[in-house]
Amino acid sequence: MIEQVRNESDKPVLLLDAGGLLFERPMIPAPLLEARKIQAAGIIKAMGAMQYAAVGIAAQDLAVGLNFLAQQDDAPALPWLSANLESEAVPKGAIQPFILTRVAELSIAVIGLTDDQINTAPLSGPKDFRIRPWPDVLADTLKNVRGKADMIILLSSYPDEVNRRIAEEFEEISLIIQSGASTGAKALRLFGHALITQVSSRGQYLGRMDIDWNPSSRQWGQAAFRRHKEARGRLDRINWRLGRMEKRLDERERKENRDYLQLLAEKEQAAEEISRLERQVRTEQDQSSSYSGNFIALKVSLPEDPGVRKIVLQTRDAVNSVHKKTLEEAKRTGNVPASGPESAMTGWQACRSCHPEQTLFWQQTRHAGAWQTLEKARQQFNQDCLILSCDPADLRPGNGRQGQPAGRPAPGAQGRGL
Amino acid sequence: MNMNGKNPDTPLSGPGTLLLLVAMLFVLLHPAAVLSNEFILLYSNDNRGETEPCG
Repeated sequence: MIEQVRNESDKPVLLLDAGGLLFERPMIPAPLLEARKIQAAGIIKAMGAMQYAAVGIAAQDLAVGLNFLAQQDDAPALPWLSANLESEAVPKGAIQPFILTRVAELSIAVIGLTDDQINTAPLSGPKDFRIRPWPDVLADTLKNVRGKADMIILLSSYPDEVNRRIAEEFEEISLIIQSGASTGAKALRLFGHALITQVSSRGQYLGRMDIDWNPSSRQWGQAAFRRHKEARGRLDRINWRLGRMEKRLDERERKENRDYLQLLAEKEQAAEEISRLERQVRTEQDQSSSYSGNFIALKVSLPEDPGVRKIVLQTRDAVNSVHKKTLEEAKRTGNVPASGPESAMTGWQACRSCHPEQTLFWQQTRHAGAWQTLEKARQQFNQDCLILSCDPADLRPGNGRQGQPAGRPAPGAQGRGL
Repeated sequence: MNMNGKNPDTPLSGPGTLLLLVAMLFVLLHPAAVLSNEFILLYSNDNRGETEPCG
């Protein structure tokens, strides 16, 4: 897909990931730890092959410790970004606060921020890092890129409300791509001078923005228009309140009423602001930067890069082998799992003698072929594909999760991930 | 030699003229590079360890 976009347009492409790339949560169940680490290493390799310019670090990316990221030094190395992450455990330069990259005729700064909630969360690996709160570092980091960058992009794993505050406080940030905190997609929306966005989780979509940036104005179109609209709304509210007071008070009383006089002053300020913004709106169309954005659905039918496909297949086989080994070990020690090929279940053949009709019906369903599907995909030992949720909440009608393997995608939404 | 100090018999050729022609051709075939600030940003987030579906 990425190659397709690169080939179909003569515009240069900047490829970024905001984080939350490697793990579902900071705590990984012990029996799945080894397989998850193999999976994460495969993802890092594939992202490097796809030539990502920068990747933000979200809290869950640190599930097995920071050193794990630094150890995955396959060329081309993945440029991990976090401006507020401190650690003695990794070599200097392994994690950078920001990168400056050249795209078209522009110098673009990309800064990473990691949610500091992870400082107190339990992890599966060593806590070989410390995350400083964003107000301690962001101003200094911006100072370092000021004058060097035509545009500043922030990759942040802080929640939406924090990113809105950042956008309002730091006018030089033009775009914030979120990760980590929520799973849903967020279409591009302007807060302060920055657009904020994120795509939905589990690699179902890729975000695309076509940008025409004016480094002189450094503002998205409609910024002044939006502020003008807000100021007009404020003026309408002031006028409404003044009207109410004028009905109650005569001319002499108004001159002595402090609230009335205060409202008059606010009205004058709002009118001045509106007139200033009207001038800005008139020039905005010529000078401001423009964009269009959409989310690209990553369907299984899309062509895949052979190099990336090879990495994904190698990773999948390695994960399957690790699970196979774990199951064999469990069988040897008598610790037989509750589900999967080595479980203590008797199998469908044992049901046939007493329930021939039900067995016949079941054999005609797609469920009867599920195991063969996994064998064909060489995923038959992968616990993530085998474990069926026994949480009664999953079987409750109307929750949309009935019978889905725990944590797995719903049918029809496949084709996600790398 | 005529009144302008030029020899009317000199043909329009020689290394100078050829160089001028080549330069003109170069300019015509290579329009000035346009400074562009247009680009495509592709972005992702929250892959959460997903590689591919089970089957």
